[in-house]
Amino acid sequence: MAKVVRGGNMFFEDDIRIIDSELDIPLNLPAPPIFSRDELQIVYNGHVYVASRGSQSTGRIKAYTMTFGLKETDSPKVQEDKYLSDNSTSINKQKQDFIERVVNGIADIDPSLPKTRAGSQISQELADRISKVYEKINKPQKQNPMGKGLITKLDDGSVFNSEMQGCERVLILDRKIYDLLTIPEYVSIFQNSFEPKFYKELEKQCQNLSPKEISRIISENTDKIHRKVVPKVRNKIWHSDRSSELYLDGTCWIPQYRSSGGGLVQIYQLLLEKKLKIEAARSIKW
Amino acid sequence: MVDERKHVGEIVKNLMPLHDLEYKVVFNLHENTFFQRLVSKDVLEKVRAKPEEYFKALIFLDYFSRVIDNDCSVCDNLENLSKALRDQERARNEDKGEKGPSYLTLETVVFETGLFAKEKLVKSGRKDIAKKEESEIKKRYLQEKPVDLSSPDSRKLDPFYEAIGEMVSSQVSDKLQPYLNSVKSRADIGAIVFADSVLSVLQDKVSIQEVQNKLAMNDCYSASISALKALMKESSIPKIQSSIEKNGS
Repeated sequence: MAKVVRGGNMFFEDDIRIIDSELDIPLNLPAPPIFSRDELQIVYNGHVYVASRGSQSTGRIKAYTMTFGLKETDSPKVQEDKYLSDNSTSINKQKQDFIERVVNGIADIDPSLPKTRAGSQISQELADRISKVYEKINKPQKQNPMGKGLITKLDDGSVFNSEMQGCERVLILDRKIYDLLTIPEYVSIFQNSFEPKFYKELEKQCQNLSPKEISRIISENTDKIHRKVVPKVRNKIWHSDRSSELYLDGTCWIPQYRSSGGGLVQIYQLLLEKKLKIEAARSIKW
Repeated sequence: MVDERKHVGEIVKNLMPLHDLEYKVVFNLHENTFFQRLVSKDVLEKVRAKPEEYFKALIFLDYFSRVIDNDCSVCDNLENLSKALRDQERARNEDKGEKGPSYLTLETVVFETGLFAKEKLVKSGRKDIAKKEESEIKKRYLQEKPVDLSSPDSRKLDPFYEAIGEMVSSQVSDKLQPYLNSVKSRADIGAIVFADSVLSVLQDKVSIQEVQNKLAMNDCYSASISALKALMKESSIPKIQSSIEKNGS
């Protein structure tokens, strides 16, 4: 039982303990990056794209009659680093407050004293317990793509790319989330409303034809599709010169509304919070 | 010179959405954004109009229902009219879908709205809109808070909303598009689209000039009220019938 002496007072290592009930206390973090950016964004395999007046070589997006190029913007790692550095004063203070709140008695220890084995142990124990508490985060399912094969996300070491699920291929607009579906994926939603033989033919043709041509085939075969489904399946693919279009990675994508982004933002915030708390635990100086 | 497309796009981006309806199927991303910012749910769910005039008809009716009349009954009338025309088509075994008369033209929507307003006035025993009623309309108009684009908190234009600005601008005839440069609120946009829609069917040259003069003074509200008054005078059942016949032929 080592004694720690500071200012003439005596402390016992046994008095230094982790208060479990405080581990998941929320930090007061600003809105997390990526979701708080105030423009249309496309997150694709861990890369982030925005609409731009420039080149359309990477991809393009059309809304109503206007077409814009897609430009890759800062990676999630760069955005997270900027977020942490822009808010460093507040974040460092909150990390310190967290440690003092969650480790009983630590505030009384002189931080200039050399690091002890007990200090390292409590640091490791605290980091483990934080990880365990945050394992309970109800993460969304990974997206399950069919049309464009397996998703290989950018490995940039960001929380967003390493831990956030359900954001593999999404469009973010006004903090709402839209899944990006290939045309075959989108058509498959209505599979049961198609004559099976025609569905198989269309599925094959979807691989090679333009949205306009696919829309034309649907219009010419309305007797093979349930009447009420025809406008639903056709209009999102192509209905006129005023239709939306999104091309990226050589594929046409259809944004399909999933949810208001609130849930994902909250999860991302919790994952950032976990990272910061673990960093705080590892920085315990004693 | 301000590009009205950019100006309107920035204004629309800064409007609080009227609802969060997302039509997962049928409508595109920009169409849903247009609905959320400019068309109330009640109007959206009841009106069936020709695809090329659909968005203009929706703004026209949203302005009439929310600002002028404070009631969506005219949309019920239009819904019933569409259904009756569709039933007639089906009875003749010739359902033409959006190409048939049950998808109303803007002209039919405008005259039906004019007749609705006129009948309401007749029922109340008045010949003109009462001053009290006009002040109520003005009050509702002013409830639509103007967007302050100079505020540091205002949302900045991005390409997607520029396209939304283009979509809104293209609902207004070329002649009236420059007036969009002065809009500050959803009500301003509604008033210009309303006045423009009425101007497209009005015959009386004096009334037309009066509406145009008010628009030229950037007084969108007064232009819409003058347009409404002129429309009430000109709307009649034969005009509605004629517009439906033109649509069906």
